Amino acid sequence: MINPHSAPRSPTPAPGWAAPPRFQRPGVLSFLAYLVALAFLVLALEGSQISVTGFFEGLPHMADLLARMVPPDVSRLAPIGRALLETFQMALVGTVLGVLFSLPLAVWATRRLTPHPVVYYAARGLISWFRTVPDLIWALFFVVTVGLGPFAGTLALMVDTMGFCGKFFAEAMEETESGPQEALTALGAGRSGIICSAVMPAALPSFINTSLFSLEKATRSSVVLGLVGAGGIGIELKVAMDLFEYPTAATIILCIFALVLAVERLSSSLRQRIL
Amino acid sequence: MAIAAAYPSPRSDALPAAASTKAAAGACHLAVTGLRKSFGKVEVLKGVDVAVAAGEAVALIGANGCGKSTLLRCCLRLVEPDGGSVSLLGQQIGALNGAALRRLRAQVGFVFQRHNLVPRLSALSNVLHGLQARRGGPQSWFHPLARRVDRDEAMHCLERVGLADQAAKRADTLSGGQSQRVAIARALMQRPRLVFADEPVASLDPAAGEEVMQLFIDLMRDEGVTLLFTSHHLRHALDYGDRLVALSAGRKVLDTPTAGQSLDALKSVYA
Repeated sequence: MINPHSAPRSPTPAPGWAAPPRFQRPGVLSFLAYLVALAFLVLALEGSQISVTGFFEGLPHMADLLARMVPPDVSRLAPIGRALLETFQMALVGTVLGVLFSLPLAVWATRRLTPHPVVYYAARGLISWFRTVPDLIWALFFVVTVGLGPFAGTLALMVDTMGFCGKFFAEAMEETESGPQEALTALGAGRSGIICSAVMPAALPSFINTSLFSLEKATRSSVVLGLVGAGGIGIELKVAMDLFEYPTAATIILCIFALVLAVERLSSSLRQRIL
Repeated sequence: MAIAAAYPSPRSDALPAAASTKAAAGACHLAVTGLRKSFGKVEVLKGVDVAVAAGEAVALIGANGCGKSTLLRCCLRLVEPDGGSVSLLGQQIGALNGAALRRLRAQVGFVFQRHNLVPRLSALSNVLHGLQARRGGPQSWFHPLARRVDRDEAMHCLERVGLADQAAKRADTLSGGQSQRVAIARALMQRPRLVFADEPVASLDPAAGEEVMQLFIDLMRDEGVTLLFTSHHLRHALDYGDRLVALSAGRKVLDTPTAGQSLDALKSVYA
């Protein structure tokens, strides 16, 4: 009896059954597109003025700055702590409001849930607009609108979160299984019933994940918003750097690092617990 | 029995008894005439006529792709037909607007091949979804928000499929057979007059399939519900159907009472 594992195999496949090529040969247009992309990358390297020598020559300045920051000055820890709390409050409220407002926006931006194609394109356009304008620009707009302070920063973070969460929430809802939705349609459920009892529960893990990432992102962003007067600890950092109070700046940077790290750890632990 | 006592049927006096349904026999619950449906260039249904009388159980058989599932979906306008007419519980479904269509669908249960439960919700919440058309709003979305009387009714439905003790379990932790039982309980929760079942046990192993099919048919007969089900199990079609309709390549090729039919004769439908 022939052992099928030891039987000699045909060295060449049967005619007409050759294996497909390992790589597809690109068409002329694709080849040209790759070439243009490569050329642009080379130009971009030149445009960015990348300089290895410049980097290494600058390292002593960096070392000098770090040396001036040590030891950190903790005499202003109380006002820094208050600013840090304000920063986190802005991030939290901005994220919560952004998540809440992005839910209906995401439903309208989901192809199979939107009430009308016009609403779908309008919602997609709005989300893209919220995403493409950087949060610093939103902060500038809101400082002009509502004045200096944390309210402007909170509004900027809310809009930024709506852009971020709106896109990912909509994608999560697009990817949900259609079976349960069809079952609910078959038994006479309305659109709100299908969304709330089939789509939302299925997309919930993704919603939670995205919301927690959004909180981390908003915490990091809220630090920078103070630079344009939109509240938070950023303005404290700018003043310390402008006045060459590097030890105070070092304390602020360490506090920011601790806050961002704490939020990331908290969000990671929540993710593990909830999902 | 203890469970039965704990969850008394709140609808025992409201349900149509089998006897009353028999009294109404002769009325047509489903009349499909000249139904046509194409997907792209593929003509799936080529003018199919099917009628199902009140209280009747009709088995729909045919090879894969012959149009069985499409026929069932067209009957509820889950798929829009291209031509022909469907009269469901005395109403022309093509003429109904959104709200009227939902009201009609509420009276028709649909058991899918794959149970189509919402995976992250409990069995009880999934059964409560059967209320959606009767009682819209958050009360029918999740069981913590439901009214007591509705929770009791949902528990009674679960108890009838033998899963009252699994009410709090998430649907995605149930076995295939248990999930299909929950789907049947969801259909019962609708208090349907007519139930469509699209190969309800095709995704189950033979033992679980037999068990679930027997339970399904028994419950439907208890309720006096009109039934149109598709199956590849010819034995199921003969045992559980009063009448048998066969489709082949989008056309009806057989419409006969099951009494006196043999398995061998039916196999020719798949030839």
